[in-house]
Formats: sequence, structure tokens, C-alpha cells
Amino acid sequence: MNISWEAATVLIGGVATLAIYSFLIKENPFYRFFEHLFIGIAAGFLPVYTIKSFFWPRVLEPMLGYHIQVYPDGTPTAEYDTKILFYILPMLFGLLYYFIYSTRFSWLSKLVIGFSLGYSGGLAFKGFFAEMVPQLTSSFKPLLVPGESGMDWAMSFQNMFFVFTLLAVMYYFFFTFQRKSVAGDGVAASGRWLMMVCFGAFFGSTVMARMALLVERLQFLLHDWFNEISGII
Amino acid sequence: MEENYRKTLIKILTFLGGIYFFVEFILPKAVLEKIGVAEHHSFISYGFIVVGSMAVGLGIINLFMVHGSRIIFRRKDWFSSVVLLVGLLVMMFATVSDWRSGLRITSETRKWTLLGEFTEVIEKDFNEKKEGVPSLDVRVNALLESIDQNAQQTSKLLKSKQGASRIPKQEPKFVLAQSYAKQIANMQQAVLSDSKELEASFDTETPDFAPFAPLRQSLDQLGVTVGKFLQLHYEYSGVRQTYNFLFHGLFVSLGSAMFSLLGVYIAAAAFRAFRVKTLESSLMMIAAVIVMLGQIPFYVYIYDGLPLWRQWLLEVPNSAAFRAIKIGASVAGLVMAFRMWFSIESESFADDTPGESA
Amino acid sequence: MKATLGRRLIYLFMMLVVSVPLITNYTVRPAEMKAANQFYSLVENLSVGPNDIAFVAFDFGPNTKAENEPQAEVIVEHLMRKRIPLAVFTQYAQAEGFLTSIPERVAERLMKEMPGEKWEYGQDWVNLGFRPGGALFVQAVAKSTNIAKELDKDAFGASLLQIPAIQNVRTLENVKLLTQFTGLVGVFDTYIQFFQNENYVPSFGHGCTSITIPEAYIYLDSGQLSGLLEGIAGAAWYSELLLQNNPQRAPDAALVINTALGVAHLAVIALIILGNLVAFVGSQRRPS
Repeated sequence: MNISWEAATVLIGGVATLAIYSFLIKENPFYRFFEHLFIGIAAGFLPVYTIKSFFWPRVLEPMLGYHIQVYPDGTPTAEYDTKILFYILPMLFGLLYYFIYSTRFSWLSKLVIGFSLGYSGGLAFKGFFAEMVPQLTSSFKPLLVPGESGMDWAMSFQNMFFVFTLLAVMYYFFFTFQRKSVAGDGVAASGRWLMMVCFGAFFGSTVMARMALLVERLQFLLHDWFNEISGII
Repeated sequence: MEENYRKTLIKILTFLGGIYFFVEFILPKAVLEKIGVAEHHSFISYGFIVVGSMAVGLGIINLFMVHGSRIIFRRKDWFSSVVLLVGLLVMMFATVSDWRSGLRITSETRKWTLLGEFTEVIEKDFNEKKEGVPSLDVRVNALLESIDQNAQQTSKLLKSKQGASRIPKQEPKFVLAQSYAKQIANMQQAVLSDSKELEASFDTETPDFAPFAPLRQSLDQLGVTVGKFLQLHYEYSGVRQTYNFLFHGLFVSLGSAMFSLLGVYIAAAAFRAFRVKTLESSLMMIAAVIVMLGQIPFYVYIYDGLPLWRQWLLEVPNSAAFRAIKIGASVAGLVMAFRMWFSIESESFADDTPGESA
Repeated sequence: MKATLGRRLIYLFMMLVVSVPLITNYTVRPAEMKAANQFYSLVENLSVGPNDIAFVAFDFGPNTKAENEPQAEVIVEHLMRKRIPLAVFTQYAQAEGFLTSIPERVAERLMKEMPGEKWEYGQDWVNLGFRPGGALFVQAVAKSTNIAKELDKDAFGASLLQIPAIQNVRTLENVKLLTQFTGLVGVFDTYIQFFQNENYVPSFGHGCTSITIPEAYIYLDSGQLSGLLEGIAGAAWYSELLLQNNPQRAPDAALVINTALGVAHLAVIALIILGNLVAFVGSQRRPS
């Protein structure tokens, strides 16, 4: 029997899927085998991809001068750019991560972890304004929308409702002062109800997402895998 | 005293980590250009990535420490650890092999494009009267010799690839690969005859560089076509198929199946846990049902207007409520970022004592 | 014991119910999606010059493949049909395999559909591979004055200056469209926040998993997104739009999957109702 690589890929995919589904009956060695294989494979390609896609072409290759080729007459295609040697500093600094395994010098790894926390903090300022300014400006919706003939009351109501929901939900989260008025309580309560509508939409969407995963796997088993199996039989 | 010194050092480095991006954000573009930061921004950014990417070995070391010791001391489930480490090593090997195959394609392409680039360099160096380079006749002869050598090597490669082709004959890619092979053969012929003509007519005393530009174009095109041809064969190569077997056959299938278990769990939870008892839970359930029914094809059998209801629900109450949550969370995130940057939030993180693990 | 058996019965019920439309290949026309219509018009009306390109980010792994893969396929197909050069890349290492398989599969399908025409690597699309660095990478690209040089090499190590699809892409203004498919909100945020410069923000089309639909709508409302594909349902409707405008197109699996998904939804709603009824009846019988 001659099985092509494509067929073998589909067949093993089906076996792997069934192994995982066997967990629905009971935890078993078949499931455990494939579970550990999954973790191993998942951990296997990240370091290689990081080196392949970033570290080699961006740092090591130019640092070692491997990107410089030689023309047929022996002259080099480019001159060595010494600027790249500056990257030795972040490389050495990054190596401090590995002191995490030392009991005595583990504090050194905190230098580089702190540095990473610092730069994500620094980046966050720009990120915040770039993301939130359009969000805030689009929240100021016109409460009365002029239509072709007079007011567009449907649109106006929609905008009013939008702005009310936004303010009510924000108001609900103001815990820094005590609400004393009945109106304030009412607004906060309606904020909670409207938030429930939002969470309902979330819940409905979550069901859809989870079911999509199940349907895709069953589609694979019932079509691709079944066709391969029946082809072999 | 020593502890204070360490603590201060960690805080200083945390602050220094953030200062560049903060300053880069607040300073106007004109100022950044004037002080040269704009020009080097990309180089600096990649420097930050270099720091992070050095951590790439941590995960592997951890896995080997945990599972290696489990295997060595034959602890419970040691065989699962063997499977995990074998999977890891096999995937690493397959990914590296795949990478090497890609590099081979690139180097075959580069053989020709390098010559194309060389024609331009010869002309440029001559016009600029560049010193310290070989004489014009040496350079042109070297170019012509290399074209000959490359042509021989590419012909061999073409034959070997076509002989061992794994592309199924019914696939459109088979026809495409054949047409590339034909194009390469024709292009090679044309390049060889151009180079012969150049050899016969080129006078190094009074050089005429007019044939160089079309030759460069032909050499570049030839390189690109060789790359496309090899790319097609690579898709069906043993290395690629092994990678596909591991990636699509095992990794994708296992990952998808693992997460799809949530589908049946949510069905069980729907029956056993979702109770409509209060006004809040009723509102939530009504919204959920509208969202679910409004996006499925069967809405037509229930109520035609369901997709519109769903759309309105998502666009108005959902967007407004979620935006309110998002604004609050983002402001909190900004404050958190500020506190992290100034080591206020991570006070305990910076507060290190010797012997304490990070 | 009884509870475990009951749970397993629900698992079995769910699997059987979903399998029926899949086995019978039963399809129903998908529900119309306004946001997907917007996305379709965005791609359809995109005006692209000779040096321009569309960036397509596949930031998904096996965990959200069920929804993101069909979305990515229909968008890549539409861009390829329109002959808009595209660059695929990812910030998520687990997606690397899809960067090769999806464009190849789409190109192959189009070549089968239109014999004589060809879609080829380098000319119609380029694979930029996995790009680590998150926000730092996105920002570096957005600020670059020579994107082809900045990105340097494709996934196979070839210089981008030799690849026709991307070799003339200089600044962000040459990127006419960014499309991104993910279930990871953090990765999506990096584009919203940093894929822009002082004068220009490319049109942004997003394919999200169903879980993140409610969140994605706030970006649609603010105009930060110009189009949205909502889970499988969005992909199925987009597929339907492609079919309407290209009658010779072979239908894909998205329609069957979407129909089965509809059945699954009905089953879940039925289970919720049934669960509540059982609980209600139980509480009535219980002595107060």
C-alpha cells in the first residue's frame, strides 16, 4: 500500500483528533500521548522561527558578515557596517535573563525583566492616545440628527440611547463617591442592565466561537478523514 | 546597603527602558529628525527586540529541566515526558530543515541576480573611475565565465528537479512548473548568446555599456524564474511534506481538537448551568439568543427581522456599554503603565534580597 | 455517576446533531452581514497603484483556525481575483504554516477555475514570515521610509528588493489595505495603535473570532476598522458575495460549516430552555 504524504497528514490528523476526543469519555494514555506530543511540537518551532525570522537575518548574519557576497572578480558586494556591532550590547544585556536559574545572581535577571516592563510602559502612552482618541471623539454623537425633511427621529433616538448607555455604564463604575440620590441609583442600575445586554452579546458570540471549533473538527473527520480512510479501504 | 544598590539599579533600568519611547512620542517629528532619532528609530527599535529575543531559550531550558529530570529519575508519567521532548526535537529539526531548503532556493536565485548586480557595478565603477578594483577586462571576463558556469549548474539542477518531480500531473502547478522550466531554458539560451556577443564585441579600451542594461534585466529575470521553479518543487519536497505532516497533521489537528472540546463543554453547561432567574440574567439571555439567532442561516424560518435586531444590538447598546468598559480599562492601563515605568507598581519586584528567586 | 453519564449524553447529542448537516452536505443561504458587506466593498473599490500593496496578517493558530482560516481564505481570494499584490505575515509563530498553505491553496483553486491564468509567488503574493517584536515591529514598519528594505527578506531568505510584489513599496502610503485575522485582542491592538504615521492610516479590515465580535464593533463605530468579518458567519457571507459576483466559482466548505453551526446554535438554545424547564419543574416539586 502506497500512502502519499498528503494522505498521511490527513490520516494522522484524524487519529490525533480522536485521541483528544477520547478525553470526553475518560482521561487515558492515548490522550496523554498526543497531549504531550502537542506541547512538544508547539514548543519546538518558536525558538527556531525567532532565530530564522529575526535573529539570523537582522542580527547574526550582518554581524558575522555573511550577508556580504563576492562578485566573480573577487570584490565584495557590500562593506561591513560596523553599526551592527552596537547590537552586542542588547545581546549581552538580554543574556541576563538566564541568571534566573541562579539562586545567587537571580537579581541580575530582574534588570532585564525590569527594562522590558519599562519599555512596554513607555510604549503604552502612545498606544493609549492612538487607540482612545478616535474612540472618544466618535462617542460624541449628535443627539438631534437632521434628516432630509425635518428631524431623523430614529437616528436621533439611537444616538441618545448610545450616549445614555455609555454614560450610565461609566457611572455604574464610579465607586469613588457614594451615590445618594434616587436618580443616581436609577442611572447606575440601568447601567448594570445595559451592561448585561452587552454581556449577553458576548455570551452569544462565545457560544458561536466554541461551536465553530467543534464543527470544523467534525467536518474534517467526516469529510477529509473519512474520504482518505475509505480511499484506502 | 547592597540590597538598596540592586533595588536602585533595577528601578533605573526600568525607567531607562521606557524613556526612549516616551520621548519619541512627545517630541515633534521635526525635532526627532533634527537630533537624528527619526533616522535611527528602526535600528533602535530592533535593538529592543534583540533584548527580548534573547529570552527565546528560556522555555526550552525549562522544558528540559522539568521533563529531563522526570525521565532520568523515572518519575510518574516519565514516558509522556519522553514523547514531549521527542516531539520538541523532531519539530525543531523539521523546522530547521525547512529553513535550509528555503535558503537553498534563495542561493540558486541569487547566483543569477548577483551577476545582474555585477554588470551594474562594473559600469558604475568604470564611470566613477573607482580605484582598487580589478581592471575592466578582468571583470568582464569573470562575468562571462560565471554566466557559463551558472548556466551549466542551473541546467543540471533543472534536469534533476524535473526527473525527481513530485508535483502531481493533474495539478495546475505541474503545468506551471513545466512552463517555468521552458522559460528558464530559453532565457539561459538568450543570456548565453548575449554573453557570447558581448565577449566578441566588447572593447575594454573604448567600452560601450549599452548591452549591459538588457543583460542585467535578463539575468535578474532568469534568477527570479529559477526561484519560482524551485519554489514549486519545494512545496512538494520531502522536507516540506514532513513539515506539513508535523504542522498540519499533528500540531494543527491536536490544537484544534483540544480547543473544540470547549464546544461540547459549553453545550453541557447550557443545560446544567444557565439559569434565568433574575432581571439581569433574563436581559443577558435575551440578548444572547438574539445574537445567536440573528447570525445563523435558519433565522428566515423564525423571524425575518432577526439579523437587523442583532445588528442594532451590537451597534448600539453593546458598542456603547463596551466602549464605556474599554475607556475605563484603558485609563487604568495607562495609569498602570505609568506606575510600572516608575517602578511604583512593581515595588516588590525591585525589592530583591539575595537568594530569592525572581 | 448519573451526572457523568448525563454529561456524556449531552456530548454525544451535540456531536450527532452537528454531524447531520455535515454528512448530508445540507446548506442554507447564510445570514447577511452588514460588516462583511462593508469589507467586500472596501476590497472591491480599492484603488491600487503599481507600487502599492495590501498587507495580510494571519495572527492565528490552531485554537482559532476554525474561524480565522476561512476568513483569511476569502480575503486572500478576493485580493488575488482583483490582482492586488499582497504580503502575508504573522506576529504569532503558530501561524507560520498557514502563511504558505493558504495563499498556495487559493492560487491553485483560482488556476483550476480559470485555466490559462496564473497566480504566482513573488508576482502576486509574498510571504514575509513570522515577525517578532509586537508593537515595536509594527511601529518600525509604519515609520519606515523604505518598507521593502526595512522588512529586508521574505520567509525563504530572499531579498525583498528582488520580489516584484513588494520591491517598490516605500512608505506606509503604499500600503493601501491592512487586513488581519486573529482571536488575540492584544495583537489586534498593536495595529490599531501603531500601524499609522502622522499623515496616513491605511484602511483596516479585520477578521475576528466570534468571542471578540462585541469588542470589534466599537472600532467599527469609531472608523478605526473599515470592514469586519464576524467569525464563520462573516466568512460564509463573504464567500456568498464572491459566489454572487463570480458565478463560475466553486462553493467552499464555509457554507456547510455555517449551516452546521446554525444547527449547533439551535441545539444550544434548546438545551438552555430544557435545562431551565427541568430546573423549574424540580423547584416546583421540591417542598418549600
